[in-house]
Amino acid sequence: MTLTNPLASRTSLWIMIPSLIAAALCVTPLVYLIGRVSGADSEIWTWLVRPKTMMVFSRSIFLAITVTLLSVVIAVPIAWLTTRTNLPYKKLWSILTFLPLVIPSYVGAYILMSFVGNGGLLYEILNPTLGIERIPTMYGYYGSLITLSFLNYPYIILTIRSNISNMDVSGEETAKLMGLNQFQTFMKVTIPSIKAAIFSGSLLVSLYTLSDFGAVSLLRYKTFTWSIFNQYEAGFDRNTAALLALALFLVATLFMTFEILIRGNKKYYKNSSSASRKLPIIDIGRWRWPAAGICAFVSLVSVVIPLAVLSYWIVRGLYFGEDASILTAESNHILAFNSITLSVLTAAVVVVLSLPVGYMSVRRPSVLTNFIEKMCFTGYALPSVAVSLSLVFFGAKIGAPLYQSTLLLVVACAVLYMPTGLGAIRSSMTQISPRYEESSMTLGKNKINSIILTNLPLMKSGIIMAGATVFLITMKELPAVLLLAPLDFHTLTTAIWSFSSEAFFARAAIPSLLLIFLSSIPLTMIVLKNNIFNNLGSE
Amino acid sequence: MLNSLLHCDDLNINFGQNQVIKNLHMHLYEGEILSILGPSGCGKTTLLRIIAGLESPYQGTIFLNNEEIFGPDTNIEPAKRNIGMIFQDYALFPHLSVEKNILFGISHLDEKTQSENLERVQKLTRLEGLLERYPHELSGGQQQRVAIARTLATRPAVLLMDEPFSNLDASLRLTVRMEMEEILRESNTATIFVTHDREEAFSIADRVAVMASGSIKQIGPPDQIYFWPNSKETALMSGSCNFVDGVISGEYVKTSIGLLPLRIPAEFSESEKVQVAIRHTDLSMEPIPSGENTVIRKDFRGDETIFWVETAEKELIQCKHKIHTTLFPGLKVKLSPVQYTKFNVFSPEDA
Repeated sequence: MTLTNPLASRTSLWIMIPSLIAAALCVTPLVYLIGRVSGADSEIWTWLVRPKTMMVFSRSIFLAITVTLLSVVIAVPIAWLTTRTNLPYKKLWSILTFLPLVIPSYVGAYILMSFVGNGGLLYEILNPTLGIERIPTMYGYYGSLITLSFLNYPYIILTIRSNISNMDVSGEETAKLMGLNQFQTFMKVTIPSIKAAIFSGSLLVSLYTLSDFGAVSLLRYKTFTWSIFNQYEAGFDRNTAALLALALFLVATLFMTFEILIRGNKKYYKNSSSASRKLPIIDIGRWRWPAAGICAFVSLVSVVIPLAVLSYWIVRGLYFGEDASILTAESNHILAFNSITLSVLTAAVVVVLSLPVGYMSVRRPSVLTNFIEKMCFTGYALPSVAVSLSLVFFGAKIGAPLYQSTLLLVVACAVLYMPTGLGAIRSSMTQISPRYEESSMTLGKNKINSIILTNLPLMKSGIIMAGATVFLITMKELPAVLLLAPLDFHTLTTAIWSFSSEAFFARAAIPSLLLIFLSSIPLTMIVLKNNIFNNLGSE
Repeated sequence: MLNSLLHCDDLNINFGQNQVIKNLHMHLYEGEILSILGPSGCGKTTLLRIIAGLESPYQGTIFLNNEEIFGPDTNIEPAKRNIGMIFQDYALFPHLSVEKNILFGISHLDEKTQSENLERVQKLTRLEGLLERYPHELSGGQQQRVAIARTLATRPAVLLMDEPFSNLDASLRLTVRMEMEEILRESNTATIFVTHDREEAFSIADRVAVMASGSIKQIGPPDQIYFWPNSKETALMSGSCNFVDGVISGEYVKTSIGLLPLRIPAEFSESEKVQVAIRHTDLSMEPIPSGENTVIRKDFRGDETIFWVETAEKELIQCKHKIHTTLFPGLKVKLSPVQYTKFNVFSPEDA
């Protein structure tokens, strides 16, 4: 007879221990930052209230808020037009406005600099033709605002789009039966029902803006992340860098709290009983072509021009006798290989760690498992610069073999992107009935075997989704690689960074295009898996 | 004691503040089909999950073949209990073919035994020709047979089934029920199935256990449950039922519709106030102008018609009748007991 302890049988140790390891890993950077700051001289606290620091504070917050607002303004009309109306070429706009996701912010910034700045593409076109001597530069706030807004708005489109296509039309139909016209229906029923999605998309964009390092640094807009990085690089007092990183974490947490407060704890369900019908297409009449014009403009600015500019620099570089070997240089292969290796490793670590945590939080919800899951979400509010910095200190303290090892870099990326992977794993877990594993147990398989044999095969597409998403965002990761990579480990991102910060536009173009191309592969997978564009109705 | 195969004693389980199973006692004989009849939320599914080992009660013991499988110091894991369970939605593994589903629980056996078992259960459940299919390609009835086959392949000592017919179209239920009974009888597997449908509970079970608010109220052969209910609750659950006030008078009970013969005389003392259970088919109606009862509502249902009749004491009684054309609301009727019908009475304090 086998005796099992009823307490232990609630959550198998085989699930509990890996989950605890994941949670511990995810909170290490934060805990270490707190420890470092609280152990430092009390003098560093004066840093926080210096006018210079306050300026950096307000720049970051102002940028985050305005980028979010501009993104909402761009995203909401496009999302609605491409899902609900008889807009011409809907599918084309849907795909084009999705693509900015593969363009890293620092590539966007470099494209902007190389397009409008002095000595940029626009100057080269306008100077000989129109004799224009000066083109306003795009450094600073406006450049950052445009770059980040036009690259981040797809996150809002994505969250709204899934919300719109899952929407229950009976609400709109009831409103019309009660005598409301199209516009009133839109304002009173449609917008309120996608409000939650707009808020959660906005939170995502504001957190990305807050933690963005690449674009603001290239465009020399001195925000928090820039300041942290410089404090560290200058190396006077690294404790101040840690303090600033912690302050940035607090600001991010504040944003999250703010989102929860204004969204409220309301849930917007659709009636599960009603069969999902195809959404009726709304005729926008004579606004069809102006609306298409708006979509075309956004696509042009956020995708077409950036890709055209990159191609231009490559062609121009070759034409002006820049060594043709830059195209086929072996270094490109190595850079791509390193980028892929890092992203694959990160995706694998995130998936492996997410599985037990996701299982536990879905199947065995309790105060403890909920807490463990929340700990794994630390990376959501902890900007990349802060995580990396913390792990640099941590690694330096431990020394070899951890310090400046690829392992530490993978850990940093895993901590950062654990929330993304865990979210995908968790949502695919919730789709699987617990009856399968229970059936398996009554058929004679032990607990851990039952869990693995029944859930894993059914989660295949969720695992692929999680892996592809983490791969996609790790490919773009910059600060972690800059701060943590071993000296001889260069990736596409570091190459783009060093070329573009020294204005070698032609040289930065090749790794940029390569990075965009490689990122498109998992993006295509995600699109195909989720049938993202299949709910658009006929053109 | 007759060969009792499974024995549950004093089971108790809480979910939060809610006591779902309360002091539950029950046993199951070898080869028997026992149905558990109860309204939704009465804890019947939880009882099956406890027996299967998927939930742990805080108190109680379970014996299978005279071996303790659950007790104060024992909690055999589900995999080692040798108890099969079929869930309401069957939980067939969607990624596996019918054959792989059936082999799932016996994959540790040698190949010869596996194929023998597969052969045996596919014959029993008539799944020939379906082995290569996937669950989503099967009808509801076929899915259920696969679920039974998958469980029987492991040769369980006891088979548990949660609402086995609730996922089937009404038109299929009768056939599937008969097929299922045949399979169970043929394999001689002791079975407990739970249902909220009294027709299902009565038709294929050797014994019926009536369950309410976490414990078993009465257990016995179907006709006993129907004709000899031990409480108002069981009377209501085992069939449609009206309750009217009455006073014991010898072998009869005196009510507003006259004297009704008692099923068990001398259970209550003379002149004691009681409540009489009247089934819908217990009374016949006769339209006469001097009748003291009034038809107030007529509910035509096709095979039968239900009449709401108000007595002189303003009590409402529902009566079932085949003929409906000559009876209509407003009519005065005389109610009298159908020949040979006996009536059960209960103490008014009885819940």
